[in-house]
Amino acid sequence: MKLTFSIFLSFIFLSCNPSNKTPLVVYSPHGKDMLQEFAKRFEKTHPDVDVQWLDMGSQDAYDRIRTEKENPQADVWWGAPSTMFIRAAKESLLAAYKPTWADDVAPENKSAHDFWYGTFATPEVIAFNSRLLSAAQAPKDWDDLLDPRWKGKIILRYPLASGTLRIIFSSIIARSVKAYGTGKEGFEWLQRLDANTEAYTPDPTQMYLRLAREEAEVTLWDMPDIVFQAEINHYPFGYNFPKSGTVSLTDGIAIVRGCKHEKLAEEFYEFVTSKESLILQARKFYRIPARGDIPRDSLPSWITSTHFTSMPIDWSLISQHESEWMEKWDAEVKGKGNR
Amino acid sequence: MNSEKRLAPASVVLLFLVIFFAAGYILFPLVRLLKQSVQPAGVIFSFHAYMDVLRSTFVEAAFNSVAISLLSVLGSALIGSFLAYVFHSFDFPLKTISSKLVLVPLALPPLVGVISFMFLIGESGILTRGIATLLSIAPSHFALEGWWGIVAVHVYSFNVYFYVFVSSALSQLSESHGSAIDASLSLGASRASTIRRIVLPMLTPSFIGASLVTFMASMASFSAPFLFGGTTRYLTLEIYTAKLNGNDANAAAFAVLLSIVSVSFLLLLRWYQGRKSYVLVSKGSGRRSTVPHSPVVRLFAVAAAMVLVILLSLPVIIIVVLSFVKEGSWTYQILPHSFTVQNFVKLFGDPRVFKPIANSVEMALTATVIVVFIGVCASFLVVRKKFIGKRFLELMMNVPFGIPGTVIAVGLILSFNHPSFFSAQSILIGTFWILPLAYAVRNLPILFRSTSSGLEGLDPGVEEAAWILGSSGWQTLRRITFPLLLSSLVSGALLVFINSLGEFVSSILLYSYDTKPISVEILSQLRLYNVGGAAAYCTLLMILVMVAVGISSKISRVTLAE
Repeated sequence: MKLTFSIFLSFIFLSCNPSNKTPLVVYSPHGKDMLQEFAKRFEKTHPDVDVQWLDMGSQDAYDRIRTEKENPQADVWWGAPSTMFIRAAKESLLAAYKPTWADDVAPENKSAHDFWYGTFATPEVIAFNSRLLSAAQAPKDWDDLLDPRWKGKIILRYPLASGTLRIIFSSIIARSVKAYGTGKEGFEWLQRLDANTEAYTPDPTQMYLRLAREEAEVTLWDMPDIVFQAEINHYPFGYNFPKSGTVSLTDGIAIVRGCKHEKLAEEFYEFVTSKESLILQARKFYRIPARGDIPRDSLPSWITSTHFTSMPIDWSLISQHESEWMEKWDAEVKGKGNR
Repeated sequence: MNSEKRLAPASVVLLFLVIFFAAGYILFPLVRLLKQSVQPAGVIFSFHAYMDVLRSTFVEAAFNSVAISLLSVLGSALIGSFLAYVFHSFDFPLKTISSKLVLVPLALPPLVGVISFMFLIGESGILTRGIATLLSIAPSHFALEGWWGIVAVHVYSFNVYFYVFVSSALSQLSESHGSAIDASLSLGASRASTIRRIVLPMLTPSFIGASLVTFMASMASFSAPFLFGGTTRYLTLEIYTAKLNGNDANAAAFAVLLSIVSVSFLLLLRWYQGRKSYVLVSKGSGRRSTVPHSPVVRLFAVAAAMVLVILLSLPVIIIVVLSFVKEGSWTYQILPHSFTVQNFVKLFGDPRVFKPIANSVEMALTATVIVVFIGVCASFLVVRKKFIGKRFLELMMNVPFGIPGTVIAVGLILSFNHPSFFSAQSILIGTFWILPLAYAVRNLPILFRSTSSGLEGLDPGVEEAAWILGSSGWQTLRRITFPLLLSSLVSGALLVFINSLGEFVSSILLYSYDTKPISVEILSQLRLYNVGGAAAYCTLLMILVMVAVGISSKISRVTLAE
């Protein structure tokens, strides 16, 4: 009993961490390793600051920021698909800030009112298990995925919870709106994809595991993550860029409206989006910079050797209808392809 | 006796504390939720969300949720009570360690538990692939999916509630009513009818308590339907989907309706319990007594229990194995082949590795202390006293378990993100206190149920006798009620502690840099696709649970000996 009690006391002691440093709270999905590294680097130049990063998915970050609106806890929101930032800006959750490099990003990769700016570009690809398929055997374009050959061989993230899949599905519908003036063909396309889909996984880890463990052969995901998995964790993954053109998801950064340390938040914002930081993020953490002014020769070869066609996208149409389309998909398409 | 009718000043103080807690931390967040469901942005009052939800998918989702919950209760009751009975009645080798292993499923965080199930019984699992190879057929035929997959996961985790509730009732039974069993047997009743007419009725309160907890937990369960549900609809998934689409009013309406279903089940059970009378007047023989069994029955029962224990341990073993497997190496093979300690080396390379463990232990202990205090007071008042609003208080003590964790967390954020009367005018969000508070609210029903079942099984006559013989109220409580109640209390507190230790759903919305709990750290590992690291951290968590189980059984033994 005495021992238990003293262990308990030492825990209490350990958890009291008196510090007179200014805390800077960052919500981010960028992962422990990258956050730890940049927190350390920032604290080196700002010894009186304690960067408190909270690692969570972008949906969780959004949920928290929205719920904490009355008394925001976070200063910087580093990382979420642009569509999520657009929604957050509409709900007045973000503070406007124009970074020094504002003009080096393409207009579709930033907010017109400075609420968020794009940091990384993540092109979506058709990824496959390279032990089972060669690049020539794997689907090479979106429409190839509908071939009955892939029935039960495709595994996807649950689209409602995944920025990546939301953007792919919305682009398919937007493509149909553009071609036929209606989304109907797009939904039919998704229904045929649903018929070929083995399962929708709740999180990316399970999608990876099930693809690697050969429960399925093909998935749709973003290229940097697939490269990371293949190079760092040695998973048997390969990818094809869809021939007719692919979509890119823009990942951004924003300052939380009404945050407690706005000045410091701006400094952190500039720090993690500086040229040097972006190059380090590309080399060490497999992120493709969204800024157009990064010297090509300072980027790793997996980025510079990459060539793909972009799908022409009507972004305003997508951001306007995305929720409604996804709700319709969930109610009318999900699981109906096989009936 | 008028001791039952009149509230002593001490009881009034306790009642006030319990009401304060229930109003501030349970009712207040609930009211917020209700408000959100009838007050979508800009509108003063509208039932639109309810109409919308009832017209679209509610019926289908509610039917599925209720069905899997009832099946989960049934399955958990069979397995949990059987294990409890065998562990209570027989002695056999490895009993101590297996009785601890039985509790581990509860602590397996869903995030990792799921991966473990995938490696075990998923389409590419060891068992699936193994059997498929043996019979040379395609593995996908075995994949456990849909209703049965969900029920299997629920029974796996929730049979623990039955195990714990029934175990403590059994030990309480043989402490206080052993003489009834002896008498029944010596008067010539058969073993079967002794079990049916004496043991089972005495266990009714614990069955009801465990059924309620299991039903509510299954209704509010999110991970299992999400993982195994495929494209079928369940209430928790509908809440999640509505929220993802930014439709807060519908999400809140779904959550309110979900709580109503859970509460209806509670009322149904109360009504059923009210029709049965089960309190035995005991003579307090004070020596342990169980129904004896023939050696054959004994052999079969123990063998069956050991098989169950092994089955229940498999997912845990998989996690431990995974923590030693080289990342990315176990893919198409039935069994892993390349092992490493790298996952642990990398884990301990992080200077802050023990911080989340320390945080979780501290927060779970704090929550347990709060829950024990509030829960014991509340169940004492509800079971033994009479006052206005008693039924409502009882409802409040049960409701949180039927509400999804996210909803409780959001309610707490909205309530305590500004100075409030219930937080002594301070802001709790971003502080240490909000997490233990959330854990306490979420787990209060477990302790309330376990102590209430304990109290209901106790003969008030014993307390009355002590009172008549001149012992003061406090003395009676300390010398008679408390020792008799101890096993229910310790086991309830243990469940609360274990549940809090691995809590994820509300933690992810409430934690801050200095209060990062274990489950969030595991998520951090998984977010980097570091399955081995997550398994390694999970192994640490399971060791912690075993230690907690060991300490708690020591506590009850030492205190009983005193």
